[in-house]
Amino acid sequence: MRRFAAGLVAACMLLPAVPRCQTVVEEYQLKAAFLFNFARYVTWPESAFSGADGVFVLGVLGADPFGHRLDEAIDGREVQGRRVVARRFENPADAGAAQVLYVGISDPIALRQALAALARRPVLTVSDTEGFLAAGGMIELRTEDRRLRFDVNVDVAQQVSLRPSAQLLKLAKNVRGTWRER
Amino acid sequence: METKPSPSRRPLPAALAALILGVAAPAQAQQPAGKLSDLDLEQLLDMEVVSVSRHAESSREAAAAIFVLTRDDIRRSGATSIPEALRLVPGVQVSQIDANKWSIGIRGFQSRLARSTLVLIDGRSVYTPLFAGTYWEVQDLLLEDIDRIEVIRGPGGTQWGANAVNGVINIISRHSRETQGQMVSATAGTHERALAGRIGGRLEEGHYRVYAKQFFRDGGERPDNPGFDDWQMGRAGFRVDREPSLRDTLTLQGDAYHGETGQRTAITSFSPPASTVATGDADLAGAALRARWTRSLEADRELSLQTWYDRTQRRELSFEETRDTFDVDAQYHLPLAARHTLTVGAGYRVSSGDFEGVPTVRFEPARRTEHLFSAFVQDEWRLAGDRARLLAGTKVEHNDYSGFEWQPSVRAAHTPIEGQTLWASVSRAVRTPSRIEHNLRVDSLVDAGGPVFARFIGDDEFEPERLVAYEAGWRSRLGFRVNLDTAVDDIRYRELPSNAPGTAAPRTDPAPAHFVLPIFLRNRLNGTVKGIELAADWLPLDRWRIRAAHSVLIMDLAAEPGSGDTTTAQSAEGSSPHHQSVLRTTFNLTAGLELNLQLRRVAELPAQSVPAYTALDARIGWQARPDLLLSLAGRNLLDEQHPEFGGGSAGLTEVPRSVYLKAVLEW
Repeated sequence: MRRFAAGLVAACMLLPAVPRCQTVVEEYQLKAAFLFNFARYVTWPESAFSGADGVFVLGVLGADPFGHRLDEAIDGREVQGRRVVARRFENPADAGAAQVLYVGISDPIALRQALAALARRPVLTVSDTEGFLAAGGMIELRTEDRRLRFDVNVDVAQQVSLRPSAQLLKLAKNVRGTWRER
Repeated sequence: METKPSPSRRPLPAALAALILGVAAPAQAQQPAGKLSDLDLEQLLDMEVVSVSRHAESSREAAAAIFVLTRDDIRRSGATSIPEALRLVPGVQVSQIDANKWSIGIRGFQSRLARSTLVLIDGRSVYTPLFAGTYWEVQDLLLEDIDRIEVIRGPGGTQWGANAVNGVINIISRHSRETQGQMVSATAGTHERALAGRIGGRLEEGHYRVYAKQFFRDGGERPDNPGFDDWQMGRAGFRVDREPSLRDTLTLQGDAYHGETGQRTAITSFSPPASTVATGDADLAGAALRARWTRSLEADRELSLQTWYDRTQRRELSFEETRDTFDVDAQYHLPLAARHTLTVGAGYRVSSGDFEGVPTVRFEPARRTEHLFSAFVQDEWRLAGDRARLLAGTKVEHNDYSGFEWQPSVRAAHTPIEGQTLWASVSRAVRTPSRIEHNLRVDSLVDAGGPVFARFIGDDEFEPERLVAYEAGWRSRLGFRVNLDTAVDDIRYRELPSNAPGTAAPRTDPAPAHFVLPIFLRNRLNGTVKGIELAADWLPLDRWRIRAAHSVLIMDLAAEPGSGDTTTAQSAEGSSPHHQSVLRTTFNLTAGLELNLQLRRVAELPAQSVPAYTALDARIGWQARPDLLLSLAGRNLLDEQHPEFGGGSAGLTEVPRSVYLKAVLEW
């Protein structure tokens, strides 16, 4: 399956003149794939999986723009040997149970409050809200020239013992802070 | 190299069909989501995106005085009804008349039915053409299922049509995907008891929820007749959201209610005793069904169709009415070249009401069907690298009372640097006549000797109320901890309703003989309303938020010389507070424990014999377990009781101090 999709991308790159090339995807379908993918490029401390069920939680806090796209993106998949499940959270205090968390809060004050509530938890916070990194988030998704780009704040990630891979930092458009091996 | 023909080269009719129906267009390639997850990040970075959620305009950059009350705000406020929640919005005046009635206004013109304000619940207008306005006591939802309430102060006629004169209140419920699982809530307090439940689940390609609630409220405080205004209502409804394809979303929702509100009404009769005060229950019932389909087309175009049907039944002590309304509406978003986005729309509404009253409360004709046709066009132009926006558009409507009405507006917003937005607008809006202004005949006793009855008469000479509004505002974010929002407005009203007394004449039909003094509804009141609304939002600590708002209202209305109206201007000016402040603060004490306080100061209403008052509401919420939220709320804590608005013939009822305990179990 993976080979088929990769082949599709290759075909599109080779045939730029073909209109309606298959690389056009719906925004939140693509963002769902990004969320799942970030999980593959970050290492969590073992303490992050303290929940008895041993699953990998991909969470959404606040407004959920994904709908079923998120559930489809992770259907039957595993990350770091754990089954991936999607969960929606209303309360920032509960969202600490997630490993990757999409933060759907655009109001700057509410956003800052939510991130403060998560400050000590090993949760990889991701959002497409402008100013997310400045508010204390870890990965900010942006649309540039109809393509998705992302910035990473490694200092914040490091504070909660998350280890982003070198590959992730290489693919990021901007990296804030410096990664120090400890 | 040969390329496939692009859509623009297809024959025109086919392209047109594609444009209108969105069906003939070749389905744009959509990757099944699973396959995307198989790609690695590098490949995902090459994908081109089409956006579906582009119309979700940030309220912070809107070119209007908009305030969004979030679900979090509503929960923290401890409000148990929609009018109570609206008290938090700057520039909105909410006064409780009695336990089941409110008087609401935006920038003045406060009244029992909020006549100059358009209220929409999930896009369905709840403005009744009979008495012109919104019956707040039957507008309700499970408050936990409200996503947000957007309040737009100032005219919204360009987008929403007639009667969005002083503002628009948009009540938006949550997507059913966000209300999954089961919820039960129970409320018990000194003045109210309520029970509610909801179940949400998944469907193929979608989600659903069903809910039911029932509440009982005790009446207010009065020395002579305490508790006449008790209130109970049961309500049930559902919502289904489906996404049969990634480009289509479908929503179907329905609600039904039945309840009783205690009333006290003066009933006039031609035979003695000419006036009696009746106390009893009004019987209110209704149901609504709404469907909405949105399709995202290629090149960021979007088509949405909405239709709804609504039936309301009111059996009051002096009259009853049954009304059926059907509405259909289409909208099309079309991004054009050079940073323009065009939105066009068209709609049709038919509303039919059947009225029956006591001999002194009549509508002529008793049954009437009204048709409303509307069309809408608006262009949004993004300039200066998206930092400035210019919106220009108009609505054209045709109604049965005043024919064609135009409601144009021009709005501009500029965000020179992130977090600083300046906006300004000029708009025109109308409140079109309703049944009450054209068909009403109401008699009331003015002099028992004679006897003399005043007869309020609506007829074809009543014209729409018109206004031109000049507005400006500034929204400012200072760091991450302070938000300021300032709005000023200057609104010129023409042809507001006035009374024109005629000459009293003797009548023998119906017997016994009496005199009738006709009072005609005319439009000979003009004036200006100026307003200033300030709102500040400050986060001194991550766990402590303070919000303050102050609204100033300067109303200057005058009847035309020779109009014969000496009371309406004074009454309108004295029925909305000229100053109003709200201070609210929320503390997150420890994990799961929150404290909220809100203090309101409302200036006096001389025309309603209501002195200025200060009221304090408080709420403590405790997330006792992940699935259990307990809260204790108290309202009007500062005094035993106080009046907020006159009750007409029922007299002044006072709003008492009340306390309740609520438990919400969600799993």
